[in-house]
Amino acid sequence: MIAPTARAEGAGLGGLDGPESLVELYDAHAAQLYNYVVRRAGPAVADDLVSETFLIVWAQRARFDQTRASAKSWLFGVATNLLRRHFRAEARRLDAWTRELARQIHVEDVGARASSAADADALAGELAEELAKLRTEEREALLLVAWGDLGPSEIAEAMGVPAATVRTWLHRARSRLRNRAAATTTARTTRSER
Amino acid sequence: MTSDHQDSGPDLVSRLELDARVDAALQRIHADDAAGNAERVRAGRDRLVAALATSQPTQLPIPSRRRGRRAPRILAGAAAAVALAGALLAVQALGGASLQPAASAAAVTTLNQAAALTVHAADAPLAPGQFRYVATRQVSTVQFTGPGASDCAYQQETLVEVWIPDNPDQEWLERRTEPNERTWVSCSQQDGDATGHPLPTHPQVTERRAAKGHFTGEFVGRENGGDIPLPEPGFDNPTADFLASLPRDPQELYQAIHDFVRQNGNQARPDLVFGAVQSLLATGLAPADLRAALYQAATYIPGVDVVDNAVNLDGRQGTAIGITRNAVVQEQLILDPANGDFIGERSVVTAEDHGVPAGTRHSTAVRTSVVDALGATPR
Repeated sequence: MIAPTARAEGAGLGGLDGPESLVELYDAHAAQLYNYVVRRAGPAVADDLVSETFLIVWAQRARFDQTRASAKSWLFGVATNLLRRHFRAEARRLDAWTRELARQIHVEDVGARASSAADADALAGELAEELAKLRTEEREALLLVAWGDLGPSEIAEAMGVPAATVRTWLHRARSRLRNRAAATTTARTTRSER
Repeated sequence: MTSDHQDSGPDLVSRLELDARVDAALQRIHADDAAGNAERVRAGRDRLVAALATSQPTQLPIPSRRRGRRAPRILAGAAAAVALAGALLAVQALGGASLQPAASAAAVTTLNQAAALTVHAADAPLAPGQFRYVATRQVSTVQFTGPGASDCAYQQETLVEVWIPDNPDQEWLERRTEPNERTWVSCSQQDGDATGHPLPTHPQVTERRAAKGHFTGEFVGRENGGDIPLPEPGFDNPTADFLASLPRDPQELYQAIHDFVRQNGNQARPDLVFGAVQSLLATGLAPADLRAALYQAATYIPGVDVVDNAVNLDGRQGTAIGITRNAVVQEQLILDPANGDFIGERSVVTAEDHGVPAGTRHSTAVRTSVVDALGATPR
């Protein structure tokens, strides 16, 4: 059995010298990483993809530059890269989710539910559609924030681009979602005033 | 920093409020998936620890419990058709020693007849230098909130053409044509434009080429000298290789699809299993023996019935085999009863839904033929 050692969390992988440090890394970040991956790709993909991420990090530990990035950023970067294999499944999942949501709203009758919850659901459905249309790197950056809980500088490390580039991606992605939300809000306000 | 609104939104709602609404809505998407994963994460740790303790970490196998049973690669040509016909007969003769047909009697008869016709007809053979041409015409309905009392929806068509060489190891071509024309089915185009809803402006025609049909996404391989792996084939990415690997035994095939649907985080609801059969057939890439097995696999899905004997899809008439998905949506496979051909699949709304009138919501029509050159279309 592997004995835990007293290495501090986020110490980086420069010292990833034994298998126990990989397990430590898992304990520190796997839950957060899993939640990000499972939301993007679904449970059928998430188990294997998270495992594969840790194995790749282990295999490539010699290439890791701890002065440039945290181990956490590296993990999310590798996972995000692997998720590109599943971009079709991701788009289909968003589409299926939107369709299922529309069905539920229809079946449950919007009028019978609290209107704020119904509005939030309706907006979520629209944004899911919009997510599927974003450029890949913009969607990745946005979802690393929303579902991965990473900050722009961590995303920059994860994706190997300057932080300014990440901010541009996030700005564009959020502008599109905000415009969509504004259009929806306008429509709903207009409707309720009639 | 507020100049990125072109619409009237900011007059009514502040940017901060919009941001808060966007954030709240993003947290609702796929939220169910992000809950209750502690057990799965713990199981992943156990696998990691076990693997580290017993093997060279750089050569750890990726856990493969999700992989379905793989059937041997199909044989080529007539020998395979004969062998498979025999296998299908054997399954029928067993009379469901393990699984009983669950579809209606009429659906079981229609599906079995179509399977028998399909296996006997097989696919037209290709001479050296010829290409199999597969055209799938997809019509989809996009709905969004309109400016007035009714929601807006338009229909849009996508044509995907694939050329498969007689030696499938050689280069394939995929051409995707997405016209920007839209057919408005509820509200007018003016109403739609007035919402500020950003309509997608696709490139008209995009082409991809790849040996063995291993097409990659537009961004795959973009970075790092192209060391991003190819998409992993599977039910979510049914490549020709994956289709070739699926069992031809209808019961095994049904089981594999059923397992996939359940693994995907859903209950194995019959309509979802049926949907997976629809998706595999809608690729247009399933060879005759697999189409036959898929028809027969559908006989094990409860609730499947013959819902219409004379459906017209893309100018061809066939029998619709369907299943009810919910109060208003019915999913259908459309087969030609004369020769077992797969004409297409569609999703039909049986009553007005969110302002969209009853009718076909989504459809895919498949046509296959043989052509003499890459990029040539049938006359």
